[in-house]
This record gives sequence, structure tokens and C-alpha cells, in this order.
Amino acid sequence: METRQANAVKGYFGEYGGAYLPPELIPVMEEIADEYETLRRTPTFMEELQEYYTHYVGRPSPIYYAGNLTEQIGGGPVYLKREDLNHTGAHKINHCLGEALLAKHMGKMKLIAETGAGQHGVALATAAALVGIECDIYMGQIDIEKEHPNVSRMKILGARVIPVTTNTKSLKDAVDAAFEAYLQDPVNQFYAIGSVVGPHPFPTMVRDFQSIVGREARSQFIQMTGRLPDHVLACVGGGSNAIGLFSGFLEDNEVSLHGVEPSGKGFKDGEHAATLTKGTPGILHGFRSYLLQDKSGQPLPVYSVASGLDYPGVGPEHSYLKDIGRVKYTTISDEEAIKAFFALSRTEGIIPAIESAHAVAFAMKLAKENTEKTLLINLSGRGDKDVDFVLRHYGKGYL
Amino acid sequence: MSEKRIQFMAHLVAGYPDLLTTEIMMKGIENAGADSIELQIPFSDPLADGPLISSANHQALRNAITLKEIFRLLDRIAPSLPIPVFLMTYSNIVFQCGSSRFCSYCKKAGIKHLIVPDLPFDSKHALPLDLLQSFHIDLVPVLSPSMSRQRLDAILSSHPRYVYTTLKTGITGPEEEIQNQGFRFLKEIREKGDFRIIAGFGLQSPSQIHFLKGYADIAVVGSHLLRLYNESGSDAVFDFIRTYADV
Ligand SMILES: Cc1ncc(COP(=O)(O)O)c(C=O)c1O
Repeated sequence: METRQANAVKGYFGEYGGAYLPPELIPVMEEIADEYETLRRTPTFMEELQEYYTHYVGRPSPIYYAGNLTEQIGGGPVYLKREDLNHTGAHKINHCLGEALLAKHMGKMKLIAETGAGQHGVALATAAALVGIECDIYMGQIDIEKEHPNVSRMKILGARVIPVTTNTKSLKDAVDAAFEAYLQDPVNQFYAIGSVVGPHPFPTMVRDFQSIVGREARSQFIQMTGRLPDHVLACVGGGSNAIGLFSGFLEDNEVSLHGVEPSGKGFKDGEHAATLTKGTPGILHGFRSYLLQDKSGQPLPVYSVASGLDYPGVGPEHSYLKDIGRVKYTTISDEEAIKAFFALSRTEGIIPAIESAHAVAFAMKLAKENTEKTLLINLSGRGDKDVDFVLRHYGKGYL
Repeated sequence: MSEKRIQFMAHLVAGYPDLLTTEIMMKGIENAGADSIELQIPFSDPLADGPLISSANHQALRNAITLKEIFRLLDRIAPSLPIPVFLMTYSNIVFQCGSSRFCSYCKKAGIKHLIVPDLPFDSKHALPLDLLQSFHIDLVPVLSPSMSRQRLDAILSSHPRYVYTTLKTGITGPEEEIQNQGFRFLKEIREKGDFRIIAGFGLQSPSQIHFLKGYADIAVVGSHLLRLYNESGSDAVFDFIRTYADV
């Protein structure tokens, strides 16, 4: 199929992806790509990963028919792929285990990564503890203050959390800091990028590790309902949970795929992070993709109530899927996401991550307009990390 | 001035701390005896640069420095500056401006050398050779000791006039001594052809630069000049260059 073929050319998805790197990082990425190519064909490696998925993460995660929510909406039936039930509470553990095992096989001493909301950081610190490698997490000072419980979790797991105080003090600059640290010692360290972003092979490799979600979901959904879902939805920050679920349905042309980006407080520069909706192609952090940037090519400041969606770039495969029209990308505002956060919590007793609540919010709109159609949402994470923040800032309208 | 001393290339971030200072620095650096200037157009996420140069990039951007203003400055002073200016920036700046527009700006300002560290020659979006040639711009390839010999040979087979090499695998910043790996690499390039070798990253004393004799043609000093500027102002930068150039 078209998508696979485009991907075959050295990490490009159409015009997107690649490895736009200074020369000293090129051999490092080539080594990771080669090693990954070998290991993914090595049965013992894939079996080891599958063992962890089953007995450590708790896979397969169930699909749940959200009957109460469906009734409240008064529309088409809504199903949830429950990635929130994974160990550590989000889909991130799926790729972190893959990255940590790969790093261990390559003889690396230390995993390093950026984190926004701290979900990737917690998942990586977990995987590092499990496989027995050191772990350094770079996190913007602003996010450290906002996501304190995750900072504590990482520390308890034995990771070092390194505050990033440069420039915007958030996710984009945490990526810069992680690259900077990586360049100091690319031989002993492994930069485990937190989404389907960054230079080749990360967009492909992280997608492959997340594709377990789509494979499971496709067969579970057919088993439950006897057919494929009509609409499949996921929130898009870097795009890892979305590509994981979508990858199971890309070749089913009758299934509509929807990526949901955060429109934050609105479409003024600096008040949203809707990269595919408002961005233009550009190069940042070693890959070409849609990018929120100003006229001179500087990334724009971004904002979303969901720290995990707060990035000016997006995975290159999403840029490609947008251009060829296979996936539709839409937006949900802070306010709509918070509304959905409470709706799911109160109808189903499931508190979603604010990131995932963006997908739920769009599903609620879509279900209302399509009463005959089935919807499957990637519930990418649970909202434990968000409860204090939501109550403090939005509690008044709901309590 | 000895004929055979290594040429001195001073690295500056355009607009740090402001454009007027950049202008004064460029003239002062030339006056102090530098042989060329590497002028960096700031980018918010400069992956190949260390903390000092990164934060100078950020500072310049906080002052809302634009590409137009930088080229306006270059239009005004570069043609009459007796030493060449090598323009350095990241690929997104070039592509967002538009490759041919960027090249035409360079040509207008008399810029003949361009350095783009995050643009490998085999990328899908590269700067086409015929475009560069039509504007008489020489794209200076950036090399690194750790790069594969296959890539190295592919780059050198296009017979670039200049090559820019990093002496350690890491980023720009101070390093007590130039690592042996760096010397071996310089020797290797030297043996592969007649290139003008620009070597840098981490140089911070005249004696280190003298060590490069026979291995490189041009030494580029960046982070160290920035540190001198931050600690003691522009005169400290000029003094450093003068001390080296007068030997
Ligand atoms: C629960 C959850 N969902 C989604 C995301 C966004 O990342 P991605 O778009 O890569 O899935 C995050 C990131 O932190 C997250 O924690």
C-alpha cells in the first residue's frame, strides 16, 4: 500500500520525515536504525517485548462500549480502546519498553528523553528501572511545576529529572536540551524520543511499537460487533497514540480516521498547538513535517491545556496522511476538552487524561451527527495526573 | 604576519546582543586581524550548537531580529569589508525564506559561502547545485570525525573548495585539548584532496590554534569569543584576535 511504500525510502513519508541533522548525529541515528531493523526481525527480541506487553503492561487492553456516554450524547455508539488501563496509565509504555529493550541490546548505559506532561518520562523511567539502565529526563521548568506528581514518580523510579530553564522552559526546549546532552555522549547514551517525531528511525520505530494498539483494536472490535468501526479517533500531540491506533485501519478505506489537535484558547499565535490545521511544512528537531512557525522560520510559541499536546511540530507520517487525505485532522478547544473530561468521568466513571479528552470531545460531536455510525476512540491515558489541575482551574463550573 | 599561520575565522551570532553590536564587532574583528567571519543567522533550536551559542541565538530572537534586517546590514557592510563573510544558519531558515530567494539575498550582499549544518547532502530537500552555482554560492559541507567514510567520500567527491570540520563528536564549547581523533581526521581529509579546511569547535587559545598548523587552513573560534564578550566586552574579543594575529 502507498503509505508503506513511501515509508520504505529511508525514513520519508512522502515529502516528510528524513534526518536533517548535524553530521555527528547521522552515524548515531544510522546505528539505531540498523540495529532496530535487525532486532525487529529477531524472534527472541519481539517475543521478549510481547512477554512484557502481556505480563507487565497488561495487554491486550480492552475495548469498552461506553453505553452511558452514548446514551447521554444520543448518537452513534462510542467505544473506547482502554490504553488508560496500561501499567503507568498511558500508551507511552508501549514504545518506552521497545526503546529501552533496544537500548539494552545496543549496550547503552543510559536512556535520556524529553517530557512534557511527564507521561513519557514516567513510562521511560519505568522501562529503565525494569531493564536496568540509568535514566535522565529533561523537563521544562514550567512543566515541572505543573506536573508535580509525575516528577515525584520519576524520582521514585530512580530517574534524574533535569529542569530545563532555557527559552520557553517547556517541551520544545526540553527536546533541545535532550539533544544537547545526547551530543555530549552519543556512544553510551540512547535518546528515547517520546513520540513519532524526531529524525529517522524514530517516527517509524515508535509507530511500529505503538501499532500493537491498532492490531488489537481491529480484531477486538470485529469480535465485539461483527464489523469494522465507521470512525476511529485519537488526539494528536506528536502523534504516537494516534498512529498506533490508525495503523490498524489505514488499509480499510471504509473506516474514517480522525486526528484531533488542540485549538487551546483559540487560533491566535501562541494560544493553540494545532500544527496540522494551522502549520506549514518546515524542519525542526531533525525532521521535516508540518510546523507552527513564523514567516522567518522560527517555531511559534504553543499552548494547550493538555501539556502532552503542547508541541509546535507533529510526526511526519501524519503530515503525509493529511496531504493524501487518508486522515482528517480537526481541532478541539480547552473548554470542549474539559467538558468531555467531566462527561466521561461522570457517565462512565472513567477519568481520562486531558489529552485523550480532546478525542472524546470530538467523538461526542461526531456521534451526535452520525447516529447510525460506530466510533472507536483511543483513550490514550488516564487523568490521575490532571485531577488537581482541573479542579483548581475548572472546578467551579462543575462542582 | 607570517605567511603560513592558520587563518582566523571569528564566529558571531547576528543580532546578539543587538544588530548595532554585530556591526561594530564585524568591523572590529576585521580590524584586529581576523581573516574571515562566520556569521550565524539565529534559529530558536540550533541542534549543532552548545549552550553559550544557543543562548545567544535565543537572545537575538528575543530582540525580534529578522532575516531582512540581517541582510540589510550585510548589504551595507559586507561588500566593503576586506574579509569574506561565511553565512551560517539552519535549514528551516533557508527553506522558509525560499532557497532561491535566500541565495539571491546572499548574492546581493556579496556572500559567497554558506554553511548549513543540518542539511545532509542526501536529504530530500537539499540546496540544488545548479541553484547555488547560478548565484555563485559555495555551500561549505560540514564534516565530523565520526561520520561514515562512505558519506565522507561522497561529500568530498564533489570537490568542495572549503570543508568545515568539527574536532570532537560533541557540540560547540570549550575543550581543554583538541582530541587526537580530531587530528587524525584532519590528516585524513588532507590526504583526500586539496580542500581549504576550516576546523573548529572548542578552540580557546592561540596555542591550540597553532597546534593545528599543517592540519587545517582556517581555525574558527566561536564559544570562546562569546564567553570573552559576555565576561569582558568587545575589546576582550578584539584583544584575543590581535594576540593571535600578531604572532
Ligand atoms: C495520555 C496522553 N495522550 C496523548 C499524548 C500525546 O502524545 P502523542 O500524540 O504522541 O500520542 C500524551 C503525551 O504526553 C499523553 O500523555
